Amino acid sequence: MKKMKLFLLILSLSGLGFINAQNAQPEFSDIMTRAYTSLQNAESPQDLVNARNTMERISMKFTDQWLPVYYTSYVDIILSFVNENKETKLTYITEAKELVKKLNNYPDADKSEVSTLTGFALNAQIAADPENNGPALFGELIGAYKVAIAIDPSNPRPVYLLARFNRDMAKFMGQTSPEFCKELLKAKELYEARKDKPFYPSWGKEEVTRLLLECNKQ
Amino acid sequence: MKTHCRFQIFLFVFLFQTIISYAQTYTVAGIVVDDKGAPMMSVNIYISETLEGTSSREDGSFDFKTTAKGEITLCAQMLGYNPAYLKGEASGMDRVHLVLHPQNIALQEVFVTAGNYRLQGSSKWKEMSPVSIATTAGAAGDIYNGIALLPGVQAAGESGKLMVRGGDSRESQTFIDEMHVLSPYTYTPENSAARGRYSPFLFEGINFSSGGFSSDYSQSLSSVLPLTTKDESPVTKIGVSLLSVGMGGGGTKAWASSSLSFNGDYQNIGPYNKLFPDNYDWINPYQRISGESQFRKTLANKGIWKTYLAYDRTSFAQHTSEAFNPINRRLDFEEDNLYLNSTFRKTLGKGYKFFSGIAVSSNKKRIDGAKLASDALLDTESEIHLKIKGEKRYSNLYKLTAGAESMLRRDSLSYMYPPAVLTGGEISHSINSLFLINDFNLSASLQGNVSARVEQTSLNNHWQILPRASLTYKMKDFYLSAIAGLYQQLPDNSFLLRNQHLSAERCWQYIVGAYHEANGKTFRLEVYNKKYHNLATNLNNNYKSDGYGYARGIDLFLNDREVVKNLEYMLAYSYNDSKRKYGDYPVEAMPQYATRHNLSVALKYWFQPIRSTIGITDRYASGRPYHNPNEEGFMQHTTSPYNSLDLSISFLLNKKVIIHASASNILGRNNVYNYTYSSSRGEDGAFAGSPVNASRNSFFMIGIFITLSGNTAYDVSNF
Repeated sequence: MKKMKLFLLILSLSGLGFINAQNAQPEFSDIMTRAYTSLQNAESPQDLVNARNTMERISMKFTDQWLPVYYTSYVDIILSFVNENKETKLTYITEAKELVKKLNNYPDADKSEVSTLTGFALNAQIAADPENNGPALFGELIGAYKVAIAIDPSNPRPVYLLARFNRDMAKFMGQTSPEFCKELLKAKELYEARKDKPFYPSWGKEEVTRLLLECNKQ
Repeated sequence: MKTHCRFQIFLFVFLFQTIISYAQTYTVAGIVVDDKGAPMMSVNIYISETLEGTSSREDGSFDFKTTAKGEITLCAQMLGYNPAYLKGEASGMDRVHLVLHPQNIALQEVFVTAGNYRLQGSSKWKEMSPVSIATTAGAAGDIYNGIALLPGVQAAGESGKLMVRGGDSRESQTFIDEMHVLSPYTYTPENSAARGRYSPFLFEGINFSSGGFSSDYSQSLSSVLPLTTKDESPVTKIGVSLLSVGMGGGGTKAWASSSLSFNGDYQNIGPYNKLFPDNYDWINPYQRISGESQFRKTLANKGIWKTYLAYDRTSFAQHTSEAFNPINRRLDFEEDNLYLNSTFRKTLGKGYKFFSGIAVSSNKKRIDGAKLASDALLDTESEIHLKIKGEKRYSNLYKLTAGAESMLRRDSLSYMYPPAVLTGGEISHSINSLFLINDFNLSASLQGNVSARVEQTSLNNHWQILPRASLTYKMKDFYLSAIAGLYQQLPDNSFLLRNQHLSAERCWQYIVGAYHEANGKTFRLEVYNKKYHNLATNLNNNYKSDGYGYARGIDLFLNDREVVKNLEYMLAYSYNDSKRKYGDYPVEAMPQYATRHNLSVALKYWFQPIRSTIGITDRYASGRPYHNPNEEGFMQHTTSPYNSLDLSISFLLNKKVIIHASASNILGRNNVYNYTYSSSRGEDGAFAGSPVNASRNSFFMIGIFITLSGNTAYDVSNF
């Protein structure tokens, strides 16, 4: 019993020591879990803003972590789609693009995801003003998704987003996009094969499933 | 025993957690408002250095619990606003009042200052691509033709060059990535419009200043046109184009952190002349071959290095004669032009920025039969431009920029009537300057700029201080701006070759303007007054610097993209009143190129069913003054007004093919720019006169741009 107590004491001390030394990690995963969950459960623009603000706070405290920056930027892009006011859209897009630039300085950031986000931000910019920004930015956008696919062919997001953008552009050009459903299926397979690390980007799957339903109807 | 042990661990952890959760907590609560007292929603409120925080509600209120003790810093942060901080005891933060002020626009990126038209749209809204210029009717894919539709720029159908606010085309300078371009226009036969030497598709930003420009630029009395190339071109692509007057092709190869672009063009007016003859008697048609290449590299630690090289060769031969001289002669023209520019830009930490660049321009012309049969004119001009600049931002309130530059110029001209050299000369000189620019925010809505340039011109060994000051006041979407500045420029080489001690020509500019930008609408009104002195004069081969003059006027600009869906219109009106005594003018008079009223209306409509942009532009200018030697006085008459109605259509055939067609002056109006008179009296005792027209009244162009590689669509840009 005495031995046991000693063992317990050592265990608890070493545990505390561990907590102290690696202070950041448990606290990070703890708060990240909450922020990540609230982002996934967001139901209104206000929820999104709250999740975005939490991510921003985390990114300021844990300056070596790329994921909070990623999500701040990601939510900015989503908010730019949601918002009706042009000036507000612009503010969100501008910040999202700045954060994406910042992400390039994180050595452990997932380069494929960062490149996908680059393309997604350009997508938001084009959506805000298609006639003017479309011709100016679409080449860069397609390039960004292709780079993302080249870095990590198993990443479903750039495959899905590229398919979607190509379809929208074909629509704009008054053409059809026969490859669209095929590409979506490919994205779906990739989503299913993907094993996501904790807090890693995993968005897009539901939307692919929904779009595939439309494909099947035709 | 084992269970017991587990229980103990459980208990320990439980206790430990309980201790944490039972620690003393305080409530942080309050309200956050903007500088006008309106509650602000979604503001990020948090305690500095911790994770504790929340977002404000719709009514600006917020509250959260904190375990922090002692003195804490509460932060409120929102996009587009300066963050607010509040220091205090954690226990006393339960009723705080936070005020957020909008970010000072001025130091962010001032894009509204008098005289400045940033077509790139640094409001980032209009990432106006070069395509926009190409598809404006009347621009015919040329930068200068496109710029000519802006207020303050005069119609110049016979020269194609920029003439801004009562200044002649010499007074306007072009820069690529901040480096000077010595000869930006292509050389054309007399009275046919020159074009920009460099394709608009090369540039990401086209930023035109019709006056009152920054101390960053000099050796220009009227206006500057800074063009910026892309920092990176992440897409590999290749394309070709076929035009009614030539063909071209090019592409970009992109790597992870660098890219190389190339472009080649061949122009031949011959076939077009066969279909639509002009006023010339051609022997060899106008031909131009050009090649451009740019290498860009993004270095580690935010450095960007770009090198651009362009070469072009122009040639033509024609039978020509001077007005009222029956003797016909053969004229052979050849020109080689080289431009090289290399720049390095880096953002260092702590608000420091650094720029350095070098540009080499070289232009060599040879004209056989320039003025008389079997004479020859050789002109070799070159310039090396060196520039270095540093910038330091001290807080949001003050920014200091300092720089130095040097232009080393050389011109050698010889006019030969073999075997003798009749006239000619050579000058070699330098212009060296230092500049210092202070930008500061006096308040959130008031921004000032005080700058100065010290310039030494080696030819006359003169030192000149060129001050400039500006003030911009912002009220919501309204801006008021005032600028005063002194600018200088050396006289034209044709004067300097005769008298190297001529003073630099100087011009004081005073500009007041009002601007409004909101919801896709831009409205600008500017009033300017320019006072010229030390203008170079040439009376009976006496070259002096005793000329003077003035130019004053009003510019109005309206651009709207929201009134009708898919329609964009632009309206520009300029009133200009100018007089000067310069060159061979015996008295102060309205310069021959100047026009009092200038109006341009440009419409652009995106027609989705046929995937086309349709453009209509009309341009009107009141008559130009001209001198009739048969009458008393000087510049007694005015030509009939100028008018040109232009059309264009850009059609996206499919993702990879774009067809562009344009027609200028479709009504075929015979615009008169001047009158020339015979140098001797005719039999009736009068000087015979004849009108000066452009070599052709209308011009049609059709081009097809094809993308060969990958996925890139409707992209005429190779760079």
